[in-house]
Amino acid sequence: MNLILGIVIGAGGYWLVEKSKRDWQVTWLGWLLLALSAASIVFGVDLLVGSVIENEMQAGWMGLGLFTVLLPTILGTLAWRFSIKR
Amino acid sequence: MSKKMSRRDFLKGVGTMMGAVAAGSVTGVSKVNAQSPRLDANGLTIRKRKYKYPWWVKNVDKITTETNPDITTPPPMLHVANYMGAVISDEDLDEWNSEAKEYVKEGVVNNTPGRSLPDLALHYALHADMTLGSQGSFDAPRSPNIEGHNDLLSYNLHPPQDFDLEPWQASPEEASKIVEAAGIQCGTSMVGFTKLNTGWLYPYANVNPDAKEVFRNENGFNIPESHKYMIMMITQGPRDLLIRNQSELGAAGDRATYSRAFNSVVQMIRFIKGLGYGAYHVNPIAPIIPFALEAGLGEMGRMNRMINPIFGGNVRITGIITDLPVATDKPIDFGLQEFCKTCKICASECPAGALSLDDEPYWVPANAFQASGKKVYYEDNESCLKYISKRGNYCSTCLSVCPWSKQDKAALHEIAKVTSAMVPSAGNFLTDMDQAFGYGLIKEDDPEMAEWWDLDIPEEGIDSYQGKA
Repeated sequence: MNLILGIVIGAGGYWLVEKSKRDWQVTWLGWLLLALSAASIVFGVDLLVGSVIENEMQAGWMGLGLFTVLLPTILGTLAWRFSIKR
Repeated sequence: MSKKMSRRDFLKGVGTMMGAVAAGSVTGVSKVNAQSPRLDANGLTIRKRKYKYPWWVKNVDKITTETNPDITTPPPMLHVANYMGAVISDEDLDEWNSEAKEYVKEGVVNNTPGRSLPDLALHYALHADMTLGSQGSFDAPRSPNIEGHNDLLSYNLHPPQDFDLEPWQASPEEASKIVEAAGIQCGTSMVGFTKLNTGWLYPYANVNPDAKEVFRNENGFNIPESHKYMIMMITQGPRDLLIRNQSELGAAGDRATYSRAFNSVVQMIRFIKGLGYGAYHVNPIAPIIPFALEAGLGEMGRMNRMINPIFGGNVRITGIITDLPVATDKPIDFGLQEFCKTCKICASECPAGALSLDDEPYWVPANAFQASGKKVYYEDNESCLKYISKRGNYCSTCLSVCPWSKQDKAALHEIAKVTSAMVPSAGNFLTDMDQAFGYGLIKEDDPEMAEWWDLDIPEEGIDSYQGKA
């Protein structure tokens, strides 16, 4: 799972860097927000996987919703709106 | 942040900060965990732990529970059931027991989730502990003592003296190392070492200069002067069962923990004897919690039991008194005293209302069974015992709901524990979060109660790598 997650995050980061070189100008705040988003996604997936092992599914789904969907969406929106010049 | 800051400056700043954090944590770890061989105030070697605590657990010189030797009196006897047997009438006990029989029968007849016949059978299957007795079960013997198992302790065991050899010789550090390794192999979750404080013995246990090994006579337990070391052990319980507390499944979890603790202490007594030294089970001789605190296995919590930073309250304690010279541990502090002041979840979830909701611990015991001289949240043992007795099973609700009683498979727990240790006053908030994420008890009417039988569980229901990875 960690391998797949690492590949997805790495590919996303690579795409973003390439895109920022060509089309976008990402400010330092944008990079920070996007890094926090990525960390939040990793954290949420870690919580889900850990919760499956711990048989604590409510915590797992809540973690997935909060840290993998809600928080990255907010951070990504902020970055897109204020810190990425297209 | 100033607009003048470039991306390069920003990255440089982040790099510097990360470097500082890394350096700080390395320094912190070395301060906490790196103990060069040295002596404590009693001339005993302080040991270097093999399984180190996380950086946020500090070694301290004194246990974090306030004590006052001037007013210390040990509890009068070993077992709460014995004490309660002395103060509660036989009529009351008979009434509770018949209520328990009805309660258990009702669960089986109605196939109540968590109290069906397979649940009850699992409870009885795991009820193999014989060490500490079983005050809550309506048909349990009231003779909690390992002495009844002398055959088990000596069967096919030949110490070096049998071969005209000397006992094993090693430095205290080396002795602690092999005892810890053997303890983990024997099923113990964590091992700690301390010295015997004779002021904490039960009134019927005394040091006898003429004794060569621990023995019992009409005066009680006789302890040789050479037996001044304590090997304290904690054994974790199967959390998937324990969170189904207030049911036969929960009782099964409780019994499983005791059974594992019992097995490990018997094996460890045999191990120490196999090295050629004396070894005796501590539980009948002295209250175990103070020694476990001294051995750095935890702090005293609101539930009036010890909380370990790795396993929380989800442990049972055993110990061995021995003349094998071992290196000792220091007590620990992970902010629990402040945390428990605001958390209170064990007390609010206690079905018997036996735990204190006071804001501060206090000096006055709740009854004559309890030891004085310590500032704790004394519990109402009678309410606890009455609740258990009337249901014919066991309750570990306080241990199970404690926010520290978590497995370590999700990083969230580590973050919560670090926050609790660094900002203990956030206990209330963290407990609310704990509840919001659904980490509380699974109750009888919860569909998850009966789902235990469908879970994938590890052997004996425990994660034996917890705290050791």
